[in-house]
Amino acid sequence: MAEFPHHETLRLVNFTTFADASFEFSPTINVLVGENGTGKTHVMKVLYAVQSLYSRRRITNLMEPLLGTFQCQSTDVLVRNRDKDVTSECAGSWEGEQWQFELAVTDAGGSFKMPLTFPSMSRPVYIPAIDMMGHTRRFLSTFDEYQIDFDQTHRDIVALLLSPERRQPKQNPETVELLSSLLGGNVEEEQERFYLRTTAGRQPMPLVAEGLRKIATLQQLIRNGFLEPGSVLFWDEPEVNVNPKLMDEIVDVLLRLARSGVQIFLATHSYVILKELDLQATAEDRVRYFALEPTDDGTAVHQTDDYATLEPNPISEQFDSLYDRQLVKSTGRRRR
Amino acid sequence: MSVFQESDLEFDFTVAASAVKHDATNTVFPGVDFIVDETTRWLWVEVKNWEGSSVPARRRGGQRRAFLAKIKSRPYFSDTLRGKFTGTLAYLALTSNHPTKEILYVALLESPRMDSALMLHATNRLNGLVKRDSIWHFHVSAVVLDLAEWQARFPDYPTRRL
Repeated sequence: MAEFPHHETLRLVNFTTFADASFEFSPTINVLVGENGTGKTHVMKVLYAVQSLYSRRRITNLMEPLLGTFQCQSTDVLVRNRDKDVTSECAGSWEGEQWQFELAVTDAGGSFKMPLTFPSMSRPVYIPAIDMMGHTRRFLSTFDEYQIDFDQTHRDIVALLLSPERRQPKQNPETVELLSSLLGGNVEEEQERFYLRTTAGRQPMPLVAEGLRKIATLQQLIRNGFLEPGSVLFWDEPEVNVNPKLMDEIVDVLLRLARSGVQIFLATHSYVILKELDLQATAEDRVRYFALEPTDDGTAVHQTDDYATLEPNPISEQFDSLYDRQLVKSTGRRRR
Repeated sequence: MSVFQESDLEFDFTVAASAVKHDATNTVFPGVDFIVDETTRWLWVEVKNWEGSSVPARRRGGQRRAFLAKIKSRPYFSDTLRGKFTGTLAYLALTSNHPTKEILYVALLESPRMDSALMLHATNRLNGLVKRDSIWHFHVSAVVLDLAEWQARFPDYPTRRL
């Protein structure tokens, strides 16, 4: 399996929920699991903000990607225990090169330091938990003109979806075909609005089931050339509004992309996604799982390459509880 | 002594009101392995243990995969496990031993990689199958357990590997 430049490590000190946490990423698929509020999305967003910055040809505003991605007016809200006069540090590596920035709380509302020079990164793709494909018309102009409750990831995904389609997708044509068969058709765009073209006709995307819109999003990103070898995909809760029956194909698509050289980050609460990955992936796929555990001293991070050993796993714990209560109800006996 | 062997497991039902190795007497229909009388209800126990095989340990990888595929298949539950339940009912009815008390059907599946989510799903499916088309006038339910769960829930019926 060919390896492309990718996020290798991340360390978060006094950043949002993290007191001091380190990650070593797989070049293929990285899965973040944890209770609500443990910082899964924050991990993906900080990587996305840094990659967004270093994928630009000219770096003009260091703070803008961070503020936009986290949808905040000042970076000091990202500092953990900011009333205790601490500094937040975020550092990571990409292709052996280190990046690092610091956030400090000041009277002016936060300060920010980050190196201006860095090897160019590929343009990242972030699919937010809420669907955007059904809301593309005039979204970019509205976002740019007015203060609305969407963050930079929402704007960026719409911009990527509305980008001109490649004449021929350079990579993953079989994956596009697989997604077409799941959709029962293909995506079309006209005047910033998407449609699903099937044998029955053309349906405006807002009328298409939201779960299918997620699949259409994936298809459009591949066709537009944003999920090619060397790309990085961040996908927040892929399971939202998607029927679990589709998950085996979606995980199949994710594994195909990863095998082609796309680095993938997933934050999920879905047992079905985790189990599909466990069943479909081989050791060569190098899927890595991260358990984010809430503790009194911030979120602790545990990582493993074997789903069976992922601890703590709140999804599995909930099934343990359900199974136990079912057995008590059926047998009339508690565990002894 | 109500001590019976199934596969490579030994079950001790001495403290029960009575227990029989049902599939030793019912040779007409598919039947469960044990019927245990707990006075207020019957336990009908079916044991499926992939480890209790004569296949050498070094060849068990293939057997394990085959067993997993088998228990994941729809017919395994709808035909095999439900068939043993209805076959037992039919045999008892034919021998004028009509069930008159609650039945808890226990499928004891010893399988690798069956976590609690899959065991819960298996329990739900088997429970639905034994209750479907129910014509009997007493309560029936089903659970799917592994050996560790059996030992934790039914410590008064000790088991050991032979």
